[in-house]
Amino acid sequence: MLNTFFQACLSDFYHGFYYCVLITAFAISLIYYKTAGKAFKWIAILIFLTSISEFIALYVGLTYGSNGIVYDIFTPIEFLIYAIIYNLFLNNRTLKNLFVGMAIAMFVIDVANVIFFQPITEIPTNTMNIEMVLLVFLSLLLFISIRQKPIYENIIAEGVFWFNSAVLFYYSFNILIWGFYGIMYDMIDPPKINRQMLLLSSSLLYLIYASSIILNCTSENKMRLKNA
Amino acid sequence: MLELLQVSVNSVGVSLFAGLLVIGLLFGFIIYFLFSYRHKQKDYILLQTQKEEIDHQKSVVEKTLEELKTTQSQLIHRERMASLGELTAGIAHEIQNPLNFVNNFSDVNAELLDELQHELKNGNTNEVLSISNSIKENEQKINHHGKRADAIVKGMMQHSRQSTGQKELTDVNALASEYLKLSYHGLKAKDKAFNCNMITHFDEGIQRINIIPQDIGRLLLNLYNNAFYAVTEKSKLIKEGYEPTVSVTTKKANKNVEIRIKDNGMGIPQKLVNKIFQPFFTTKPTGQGTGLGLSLSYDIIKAHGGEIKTETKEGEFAEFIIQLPIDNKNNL
Repeated sequence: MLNTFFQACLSDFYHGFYYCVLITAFAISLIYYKTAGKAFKWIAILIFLTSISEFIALYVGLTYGSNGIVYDIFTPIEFLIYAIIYNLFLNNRTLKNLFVGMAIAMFVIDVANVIFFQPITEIPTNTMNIEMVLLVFLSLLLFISIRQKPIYENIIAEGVFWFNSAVLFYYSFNILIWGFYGIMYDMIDPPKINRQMLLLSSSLLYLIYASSIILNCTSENKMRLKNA
Repeated sequence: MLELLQVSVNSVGVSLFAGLLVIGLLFGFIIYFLFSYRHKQKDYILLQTQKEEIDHQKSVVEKTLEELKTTQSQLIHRERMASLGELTAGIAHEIQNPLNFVNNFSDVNAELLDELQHELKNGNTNEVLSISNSIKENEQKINHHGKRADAIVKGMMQHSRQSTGQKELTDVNALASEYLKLSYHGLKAKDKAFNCNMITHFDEGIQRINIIPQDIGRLLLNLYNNAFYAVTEKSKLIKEGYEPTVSVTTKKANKNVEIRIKDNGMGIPQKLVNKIFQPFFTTKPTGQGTGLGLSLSYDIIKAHGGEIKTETKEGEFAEFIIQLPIDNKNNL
């Protein structure tokens, strides 16, 4: 079984690259967890949970033929963590209520989707699409907030910029990929490019998340040195 | 099969095109964001610098205000102490009267006691009773004048004390009369040649009103001192045929109690009338006035919700008209 698991992990370059990136990001998160800022600690938790869920999904897929249940459980949890991260970044009492509302709504939508539209064995693409749209919205909100209060001396050297850019790019791009995936899903021999793009963009996303944690720790160190 | 392949190739092409378009748009957005961030940052830094400058200025102003408040309270205290100094002679004179009575009656009582002992030895009961009645009456007088002296000392202490801000039902006529005497005797003690007619018209129908007696007392003292000062100055200029007079009138006017203090001194030049209530404004020679008396009087009247007006004719008279509201709810 373990052999089959590893074989599935390294079935092609894209899968291999993706799982290697997840492990690397997970390792970086662990190393920098202590020194990272509060929001970045939650990004580390997100990387950790994503890595776990991806490996569980792989295992469940191999064992039961369908891993939809893993994504059914993970999607609202993932959104909840994003809501916490954005709440910490935006630090706005009014928006906090909005985030709580969004997180609750995601759980309700997920349950309703399983009951009425996509059974538990199917990947909850409906919930995922809604989550993506909401995350793009949150990302734009954070960009506006950063622009309104430009406190960072060099924004490109800030982890928050890279994290938010990654969210904006990944989830906007993913909405598109999922859309085309739907078109090609019914084909007898659908091209693999969508799946490959998805794996590549996800790999890039988690690499940037890990890099943003490093950047945050570096700037935190800089600040500590300045204060000292 | 060929058709399927064609669809597949087309779909891949559209996917790639759309993907590149989205990436391009997102990059465009990020570049725009970075440019606008830089632009905003410049404004923000400028704003922050200005804010820091404003905060600094604010703290400087606040510090200055604090210093001014301290200085003001010191000045008010000094003014109060100065007026107390002016009062001292008056108070001494006022206390002297009851003390004289106390001393005289106690002397008389001592003599009466000797007489009483003598009559007791003779067994003259009727005479003993008569003498003891006299002693009792004298003792009551001693007690009365002792209380009067006590009241004067208490009044003096009240004057020097920081106002509690508590209003009390006060007899305005008694207050006006008491401070007029204190002011007069104070000046008389300093200048033996000082003489002035004092005319009072107190409306007996005025009810007791709610005021802070220490503050109104201070105000009256200021105005009396000014009035006496004005008539003294005029009497120095006009030696013959001038009768220095200060009159005090109280009366009830609608919902107010009106106190008028008029002197036939030099009056106030018309160009100075608007300035007399300004702090530190004085026409007295250096060292003789702080210029705070009328300013503080104005503040006291305003704090009581009243009005103070001046009527004057240069070279002839000056009259200060004080109006204090009667608060029907609290007055007896």
